[in-house]
Amino acid sequence: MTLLSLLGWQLKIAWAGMVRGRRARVGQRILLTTVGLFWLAMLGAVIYLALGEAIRRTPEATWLLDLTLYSAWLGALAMVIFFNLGFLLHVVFFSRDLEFLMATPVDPRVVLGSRFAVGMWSNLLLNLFLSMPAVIAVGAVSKVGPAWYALFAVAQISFLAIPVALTYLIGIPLARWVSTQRLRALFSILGFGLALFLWSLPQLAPSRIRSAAELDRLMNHGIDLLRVFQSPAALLWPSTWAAAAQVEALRGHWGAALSRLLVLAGVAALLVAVSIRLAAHSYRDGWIRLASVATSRQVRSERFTFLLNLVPRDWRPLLWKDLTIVARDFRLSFQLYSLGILMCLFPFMTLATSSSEGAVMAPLTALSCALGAAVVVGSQAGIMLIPMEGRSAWRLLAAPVSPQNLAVIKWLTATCLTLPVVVGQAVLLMLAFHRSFHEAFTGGLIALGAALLGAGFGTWTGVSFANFEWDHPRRMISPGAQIIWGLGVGLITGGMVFLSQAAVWSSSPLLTGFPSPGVALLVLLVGTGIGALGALRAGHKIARMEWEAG
Amino acid sequence: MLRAQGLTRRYGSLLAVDHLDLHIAPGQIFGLLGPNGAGKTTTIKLMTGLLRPSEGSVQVGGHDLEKEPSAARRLIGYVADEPHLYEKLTPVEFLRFSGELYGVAADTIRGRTQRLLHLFELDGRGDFLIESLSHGMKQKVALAGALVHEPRLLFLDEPTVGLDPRGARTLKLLLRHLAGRGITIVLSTHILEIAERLCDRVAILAKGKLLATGTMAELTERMGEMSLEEIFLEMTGGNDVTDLSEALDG
Repeated sequence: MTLLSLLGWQLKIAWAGMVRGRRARVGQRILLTTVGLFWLAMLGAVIYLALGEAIRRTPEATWLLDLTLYSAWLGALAMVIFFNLGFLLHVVFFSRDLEFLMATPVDPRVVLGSRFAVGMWSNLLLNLFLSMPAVIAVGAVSKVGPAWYALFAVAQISFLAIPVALTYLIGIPLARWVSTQRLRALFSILGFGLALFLWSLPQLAPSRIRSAAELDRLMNHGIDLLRVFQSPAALLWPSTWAAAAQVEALRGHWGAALSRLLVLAGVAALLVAVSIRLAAHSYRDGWIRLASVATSRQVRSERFTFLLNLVPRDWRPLLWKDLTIVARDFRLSFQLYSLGILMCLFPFMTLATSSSEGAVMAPLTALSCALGAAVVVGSQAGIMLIPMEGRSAWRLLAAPVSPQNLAVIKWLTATCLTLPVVVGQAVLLMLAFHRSFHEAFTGGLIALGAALLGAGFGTWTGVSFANFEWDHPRRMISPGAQIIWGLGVGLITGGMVFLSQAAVWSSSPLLTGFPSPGVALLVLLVGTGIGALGALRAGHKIARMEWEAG
Repeated sequence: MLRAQGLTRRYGSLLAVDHLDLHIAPGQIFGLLGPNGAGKTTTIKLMTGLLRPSEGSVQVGGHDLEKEPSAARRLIGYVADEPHLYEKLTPVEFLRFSGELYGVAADTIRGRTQRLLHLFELDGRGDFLIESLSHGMKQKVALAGALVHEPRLLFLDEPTVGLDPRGARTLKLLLRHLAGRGITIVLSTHILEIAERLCDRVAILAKGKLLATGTMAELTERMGEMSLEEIFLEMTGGNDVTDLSEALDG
């Protein structure tokens, strides 16, 4: 069997998995495509307008274009590392069908090569969605020809091959010596740390502008930031090579651009060849175990079950079961909290770099932080709790629990899972932002409202787009629903940033001051109301659910 | 205990279950037999409420499954053909969860859990994560989970798959014992020996239709001193077997 035919089969299987159950929902697919395209167009247009305006005002500020390209590629690298290290490891080393494929007479290089292509494809979709709008905007502002975009395409493919190949190379020794579960955890933490480091770099620039002087300062910071990309460490990143090739081409230095592209493609080709051969050898010689063996260990249970006496009896089994599973499954808890932690760190980093603005902005930034993280974690928890049942979900459908009760319990469980974030935010308000207990409590109430709202939205999304046959928490809902959720998170974050900026511009006491307890209660009520509606809608969906699997 | 009337399930133009009428008395072991794709699993899912019938109705212990789902489901236990369990729970925790889901008191669950784990020879594994158990052990945990709330009607889809001979023997004895206590058991199986030795009544399904139903004696009498295997092959297309060698020889 050739690489292409095996890859064809894999893509067919993946496609069948994607469209199954959505066959009849043509309207939904059209809607998702429209939303996706709208996102790309909107992001591209915003970057295009901003860059165009900046260049019109200051024609010599072409470094902004360079900065955009370097940042877009760096962002893409961060995303690949953050989202895909664990996923790739799963696809390459712990896939369920690998044992079967390796037992066939198909060359292991073909098997691992096709897995490589699957990993590339997954990264490509993510990257195009994130970096393409910026690249097209830069191209449009600079009025480049098609050759520049062709260079982008080649750079993109070469660039993506490098992290995938490195995952192979890092994964081979780890797969031999570290247990499957620890390896997954290790990779997730490693990816998270690296992504956090890369992602925090652009945050060094101040994000709030109040005067022309500050604009000048921002411009100077931008030039400083560009120097970061020319530092010896940055020169080792494949994102820098790809961006440098595009920047050279933008200036019309095609010779330099092609030589940089050649280096990128050459390194990529070398790494691909070495990583696939080495992985194939490791499997063929039995250096890596094919079957992963689950650790056999006794666990302590029922340590905190007395707390369940605080909730109604009907809720206890599901609430206890879900909390126990999330606490014990690292993949689930990591998926649940990682993005929320990133959001929490965002305002702290910006505050650390501009103290005068930070003092004015402290209350609102803290509030943005609390709200954003609570919505993100709450919605993520809501999304996970129904699909998390996996192929055991029939137990709940066959049990004497009403669909409405089931949805409401899941909603409240999702809120419970968000409570550490809500409480943590209140503590941070006091310790890092020096707010009083009264204000921290008020902030906590608002965050709780956001958590209830997010959990309700998440529960509805999880029920509506559930994939009970997931093999990785990222695939608990259909890809289209993930885009909707991502857009929602983007809108929330964008809204928070906009509010922060608006508060400074207007200097309105309403926006810069801390909300009163009355406002907090109102937010809590509204959040609970909308969240409950989401849960009730989810209950309706569960009532119509049938169990076809198995 | 169980009454299905005109039970029908369509998938587009495909008729998976075709106007099935069944009446199963309390304490009976009822076997659903049929070739692959005959509609056995779909029938069981319709009778447990996991699928909704396109036509017809199901009554469990006098409760309509559609109109009084909670009351009907409280009487049912179901074991699927694959033991999909919560891998991050222990068998003890899983049994506790299963029992509480059906409203059984915590103390009662504790006692039953000990008995069931002992019965299935899982005493030493009760506090280990389910993910570390073998397939057969998981199947036993799934069985125990379906029994912990002491259902009045137990559905088993291919119950002996994955069990070792000792486990299969235990299961057969257990089912006999449960039937003796008045619990109704509906099981689907490919293993005709199980149906022949264990079931009080059997139904033979093919392409969603009920071809025959009755006790072993009734079927044998009707078909003229044939074994169950011969009856099964006769009804579901026995010539396939004689054609096998021709097909293999090309």
